[in-house]
Amino acid sequence: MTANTLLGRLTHRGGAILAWALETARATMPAALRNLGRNPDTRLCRLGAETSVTEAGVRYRSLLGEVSLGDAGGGANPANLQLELPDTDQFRRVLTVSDSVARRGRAALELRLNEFSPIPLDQASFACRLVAPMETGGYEVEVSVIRTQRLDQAIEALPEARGNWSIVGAVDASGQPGFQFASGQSARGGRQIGRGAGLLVLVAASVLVCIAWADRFSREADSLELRRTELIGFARGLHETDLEIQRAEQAIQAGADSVELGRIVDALRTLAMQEPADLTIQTIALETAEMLVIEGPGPGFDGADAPARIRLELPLEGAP
Amino acid sequence: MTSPFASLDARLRLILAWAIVSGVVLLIAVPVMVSAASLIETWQRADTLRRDVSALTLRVDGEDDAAIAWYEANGETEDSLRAYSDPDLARQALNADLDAIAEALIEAGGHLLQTPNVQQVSLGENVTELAGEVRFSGALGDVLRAFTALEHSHIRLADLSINALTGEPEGRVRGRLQLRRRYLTEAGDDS
Repeated sequence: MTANTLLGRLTHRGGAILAWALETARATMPAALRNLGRNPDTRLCRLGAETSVTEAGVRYRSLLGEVSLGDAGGGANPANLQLELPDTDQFRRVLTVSDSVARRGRAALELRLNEFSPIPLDQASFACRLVAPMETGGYEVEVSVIRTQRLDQAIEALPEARGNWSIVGAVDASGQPGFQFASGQSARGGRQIGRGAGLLVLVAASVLVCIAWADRFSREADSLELRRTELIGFARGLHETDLEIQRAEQAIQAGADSVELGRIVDALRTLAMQEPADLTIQTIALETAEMLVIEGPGPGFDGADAPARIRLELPLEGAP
Repeated sequence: MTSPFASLDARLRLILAWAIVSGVVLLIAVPVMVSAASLIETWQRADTLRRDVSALTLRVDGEDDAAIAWYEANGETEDSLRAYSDPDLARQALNADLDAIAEALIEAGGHLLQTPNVQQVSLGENVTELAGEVRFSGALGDVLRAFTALEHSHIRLADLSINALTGEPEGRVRGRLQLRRRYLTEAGDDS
């Protein structure tokens, strides 16, 4: 047994168990939940005499797999197609089979085709469906046999489909096929992903997207955390600076004002540009932090009379 | 063709079917919910931090601008600010200013009448003032040239007097200037 075969069997069995569990559980669910996400799924057609095909309705399927029939009209354009063969083309018979034959299904019945086929074996195709388990053990199985040539005609008569197609022998009230003779995928449509697989891909993609964005936000948060720590340190330093500034202002205001030397130089420069060149300076004094006083002899001073003095008061701009 | 677990009791089959469906739903829902919760949590953390950083940046920028404005208005720097609360730095800063003035006067052609000296006076409970004095003489032009050289030094004078000397060649002056530096000491700090 190759790994592929084992994997295939496991997948098949797992899918069958999951489908059975969903079908069994679904029967006990409220109708609203069962029909959640109901969408047109399959276009149903009937094969008439020769190769004429008539519309028979649309099969709807919910997210949970609940199927129901609807009218052909209404603008629904489902991707899948199901062609039902007329009863007159089929030879049906109910057989009683053992549990093991019922479990093995079609493969086991094929060996017994000569027992129930009225058509020569090389010209016959058949399909089967489980009817019910018997109280005495075993199962009742209904088989339907058609001519292979008629099946080929049905395949040729298939209308165009975008998705999967199937040829069946009967359709029950909910639209479920009874006998499946042939199935395939439209050449027009790409390979369709099943709902389960699609959901899994969607879930996986959602998880990956969430993880990727969470990682992005996490890295951003880490970097912001670092920045916040830096800013808090910086803010603490500024708080210290603010305290030092307050102390400095307290110290500055505790005593007499002072003035920048640059202001004094500015005032003297202004004086030099405005006063006459023969001004004789005897005293330069900083009277207050806002005022520089220049004194010197006046123009009439001759050294003998009462001294005539000039007193210039220079405001110190921008002081203190 | 037969359904799985066909031999089981109908009630047991239903329980088993629900258990399988619930298990699959959990298998799908748990990773989605965990990853979504993680996403929401990290987004909230990042959002909170973004707000914090934004508010802190505004506050820090405002305080930094205010501090820079104070430095510029007072001719101080981050280093010189510490001199207002550190006696050693205050004395160093005052000595540096006195040295700069003495050096400028000598370079301009003036003379120092005595070495610059520093007096320490207490102005109150926790304010101490250092007063440094420079006495000099020289030509008025030289003195003014020395002052001009220090125009942008941010040196602050507390007192200045320059007097022309009588009996000396015209333009000779004698002067005195005083610089003061105050600093705060913490209670119990006897520096």
